[in-house]
Amino acid sequence: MKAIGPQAYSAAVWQRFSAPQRAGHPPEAVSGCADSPAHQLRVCFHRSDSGYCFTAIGCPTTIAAADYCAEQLDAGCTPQVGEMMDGLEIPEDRRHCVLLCEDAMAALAARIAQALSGQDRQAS
Amino acid sequence: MSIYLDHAASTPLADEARAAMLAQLDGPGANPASDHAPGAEAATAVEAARAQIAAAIGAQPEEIVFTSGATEADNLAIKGSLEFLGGGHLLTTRIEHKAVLDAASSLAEQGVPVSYVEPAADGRVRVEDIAAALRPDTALLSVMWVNNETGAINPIAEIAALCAERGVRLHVDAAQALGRLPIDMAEVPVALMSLSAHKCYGPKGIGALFVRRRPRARVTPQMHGGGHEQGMRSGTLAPHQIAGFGAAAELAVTRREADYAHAAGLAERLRGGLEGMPGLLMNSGPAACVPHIVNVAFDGIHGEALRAATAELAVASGSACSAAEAESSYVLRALGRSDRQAGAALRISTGRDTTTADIDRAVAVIGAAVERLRAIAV
Repeated sequence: MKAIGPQAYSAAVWQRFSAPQRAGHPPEAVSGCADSPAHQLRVCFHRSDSGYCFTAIGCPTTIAAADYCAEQLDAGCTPQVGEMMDGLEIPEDRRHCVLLCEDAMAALAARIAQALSGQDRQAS
Repeated sequence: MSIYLDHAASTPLADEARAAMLAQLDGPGANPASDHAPGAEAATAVEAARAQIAAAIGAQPEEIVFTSGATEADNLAIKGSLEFLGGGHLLTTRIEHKAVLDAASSLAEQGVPVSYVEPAADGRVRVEDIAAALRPDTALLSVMWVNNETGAINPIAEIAALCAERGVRLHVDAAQALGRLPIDMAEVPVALMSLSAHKCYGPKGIGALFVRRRPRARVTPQMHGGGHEQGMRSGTLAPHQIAGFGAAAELAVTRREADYAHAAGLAERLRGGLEGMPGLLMNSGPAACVPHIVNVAFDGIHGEALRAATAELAVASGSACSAAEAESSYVLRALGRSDRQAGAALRISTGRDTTTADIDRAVAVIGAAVERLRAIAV
């Protein structure tokens, strides 16, 4: 069993957990969230005029994956599960952390679509 | 370099215990059951240690049965009692160590009726709740003296009096109590009591079961092969482990009041430092718990992230997030904490070597981690 700390995670996960660049929740943002009660995890992505960011109650892997997703969304990409697992060197027993981020991104996309459709209706 | 604050899990070996062990390890290495001179010398060392341990708990030397640790002692007490008594109802509590709960589950699978008393909000078991849960067919009650996660002290003297009145055999897991609280088996009518050496600055791999002589509390052996330890626990005795345990037990009694005062001072400093941190939940109340264990949790953050961000501290923690290890503390959940709150718990347990500087550093590390993780939180 590895002692908890940097040695228990990949360098990429530890770096993003220690200093996430896209943590935050602007008040005017549109948000999409997902929960995993079994693992006591929650991830939300937020879209505002200043770009994408995230908030999370999560383990280091979840926080790192959420930071990576927000970065990719800002770059105009929607990251895939396999890409995140490989890019952050996430082990298979932590796949649920990545799947949760995928669910939260889908929830955000649905909320954005909903908001846009509401704007369309108002415009017409 | 870690700051070691996990003395409830295990303590460092005391110098006195190490010296006693080395004296045995450097000898001829004879079997204390052998009838030659070196064997007799080893047996003398074993009996001296047995007397030291008995004296530490107000017992007679012949009431001490050596085991591999408190886990084996718990198993011998519980399974050995039920077998000797020919069955009956087993009553225990939701906050026992796994050594008791798993032994109880094993018996339940074999058809033994088992029931569990819930703790009160302060983490302690109430005598009136036990009284209400005792049944006419209750053969054994097993209750820990001090809870290993929260430090909650159960009212063993009152529980023992109740059991004596009802004619129910009482087993007490005192792994966390030896050297922390006064223990006097001459005054408290406990039938069986489990002890561990490495929780009181002795070596790992050795423990004991106190088995009362008057009135006699007999158990059926669970380990066979030679009839050692008055037929209750077969297996060659380890004189170096036993000598270390004896020295540690004697020292624990000598130092008990000083150790308690030291732990109480550190606990007060720790509580004061943590007070006011956002989301703080105290799982150990100063009035109900031993001072060397302080268990806290933080609302709104994940346990594994908290542990990772406080990796400099060697403390016990809540749950991990991996697929195989997601379960949080059953003790804290029994006290009404949510899974997430129980998962975000830290058990900080101090020892003789813990300094105020260690506590101040722990407060600083925890404070920084909580602030950072709550800023990320939803």
